[in-house]
Amino acid sequence: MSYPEEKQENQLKEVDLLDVVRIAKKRKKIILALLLAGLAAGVFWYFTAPSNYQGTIILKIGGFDRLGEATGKKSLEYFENISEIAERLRKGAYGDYPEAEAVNPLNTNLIEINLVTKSRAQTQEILEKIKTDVLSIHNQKAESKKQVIDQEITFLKDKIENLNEDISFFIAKGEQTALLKLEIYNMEKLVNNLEKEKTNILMSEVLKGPDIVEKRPGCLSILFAGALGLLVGLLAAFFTDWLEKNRKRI
Amino acid sequence: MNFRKIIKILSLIFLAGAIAFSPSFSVGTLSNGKIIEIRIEDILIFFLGFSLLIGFLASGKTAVEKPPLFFPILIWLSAGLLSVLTNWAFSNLALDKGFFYFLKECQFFVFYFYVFWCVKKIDTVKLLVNIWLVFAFVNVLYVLYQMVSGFRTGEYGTAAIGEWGVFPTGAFFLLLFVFLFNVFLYYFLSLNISITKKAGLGIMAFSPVLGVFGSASKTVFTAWLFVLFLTFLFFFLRKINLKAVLVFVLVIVLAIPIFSFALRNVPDLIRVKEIIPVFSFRPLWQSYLNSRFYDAIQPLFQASLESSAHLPFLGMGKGYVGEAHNQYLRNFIEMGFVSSLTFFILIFAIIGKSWQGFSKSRDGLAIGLSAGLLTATLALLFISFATEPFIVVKPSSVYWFFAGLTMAVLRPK
Repeated sequence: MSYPEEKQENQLKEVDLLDVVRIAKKRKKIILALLLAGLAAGVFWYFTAPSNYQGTIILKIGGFDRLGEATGKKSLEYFENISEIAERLRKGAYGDYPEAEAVNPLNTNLIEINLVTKSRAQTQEILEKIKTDVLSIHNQKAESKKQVIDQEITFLKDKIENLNEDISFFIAKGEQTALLKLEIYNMEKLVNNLEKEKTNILMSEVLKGPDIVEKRPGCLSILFAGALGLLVGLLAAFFTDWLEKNRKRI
Repeated sequence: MNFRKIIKILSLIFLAGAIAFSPSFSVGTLSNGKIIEIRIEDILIFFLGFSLLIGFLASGKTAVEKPPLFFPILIWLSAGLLSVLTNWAFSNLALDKGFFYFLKECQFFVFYFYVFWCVKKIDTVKLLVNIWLVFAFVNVLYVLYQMVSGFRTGEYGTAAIGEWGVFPTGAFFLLLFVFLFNVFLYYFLSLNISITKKAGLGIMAFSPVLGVFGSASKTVFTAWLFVLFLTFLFFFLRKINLKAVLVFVLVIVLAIPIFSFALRNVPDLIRVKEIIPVFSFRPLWQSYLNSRFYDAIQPLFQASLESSAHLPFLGMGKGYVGEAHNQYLRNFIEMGFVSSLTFFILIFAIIGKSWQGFSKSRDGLAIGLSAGLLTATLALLFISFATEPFIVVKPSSVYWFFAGLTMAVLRPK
């Protein structure tokens, strides 16, 4: 193998860092020019970029407070699975807001909804609508739950009244009423529990917001634009070098 | 063998072990609420990569061996970095999302480069393949334990060690099956060893199939059928003789009882029955349309086009998409039309190199690994229509580890 061929073979098999530095040095004008262009574009963008408006709203998701039958521990059955609310928001269950992002901080019953639009009024309007929709659905669920509990309580109270009448009747006849009294006692306990359950219904509510913040590109944007210019500059430098070396073959 | 070489081989074994067995740990959350999870291999590759760099700089050398696929990888990463920086500059992309998603992608290539640079001898490749065989088998035993005991740890069905998700588990076993079974077909099968040893190796190489079935993933199951077709297509292209036909028949005969065993022990595996194409692809296509295309891919594509005017040119940056259910759509949204084409440059380079290795090599191990890489790449491209396999950690780590091994074997002597 002749020397030039051997050199070319080595070039194909190895990457020499010194070559990389040499090419970068040789083409420093291209690199610098594109770096400066990137920085200039970043500065231009920093001053002229249109404002975006980011709105945030934090909702506390409510539910039914219940005592576990086996464990006896209190647990909250949410009106809606919190981690799924985000997915439903995306799919448009609460209206068509594909840009709204919902986050559920770990081990909490909170949901943070973020939205960015080009106008403050639009952000405010959409977040208000999401809030109203979510809360109205949850309130409906809470109301229907309350109605069910009320119906159960009325039913039990009627039954207790009937049993009391039965007791008066049996006492007049001189018969035993202990079992009926025990049944009344149990029913009253049930009524108490249901009333507690009713008062323990945790309503969904707005914890914070909607807060709207104007978002403008920060100084970091200039830095990133500079880095972008540098990257494009390096790519252009290496491409120019490659083109020059392979001009004959092309 | 000197101390440094032993350390390098040990580091590769630890790396393979970490990929095969490491659970994930939560270290925080991204701004979109997604939990940042790291694994032992993430920490390990950071230190190993760093020590390799320090070692190189300390040696005073200036040149480093150029791995195959170096330029396609460089182009793909540059395009990714370009999209991230552009969107950071325009404040379209959250800093943390862009950073972590891009870092994760870089990590797969660090696996590839590290394996390639550390493996210098064919004996090391043989050792690592044998070790992977053992690691895969241990995972299969864990799956078997879950099936028999009824104590399942996966999302739908059984899971690999340290894993939970249906796709990561299924694809992990699928890729192990692809690489190990191809090595078995082209290398172990032609070794001058007893038939009992060959049978033992064959069972170990084929065993990841149980993990594929156990995961109860429709996508992975369909991909497995595709893989089986490709594996034997390539096998018959290379050797068409009675032995090859016998192996094919044996594989079919073995797969049926394994599938029925898994079906009896993993109730969720019933999901795949609806898509098994007996005489037609219609059920499979309908299932894809209903569960993926109409529900996720089409709306996301439309929403993306409406959300940003510059999307087709620059993309929205790495990490912008939560779940696209389609790798090509993810690439398009994140990097734009032009940059997403660089993905195909990388893929065609991998396919080209592995086809070259498959068709031109004379060594059984090189042919087996090349056939494995070729099949695995085509399988991942197939899966890419339904999910995003190239960013899923466990299968991608296996893929790039074996890609490194394959390219090390194909290295010119």
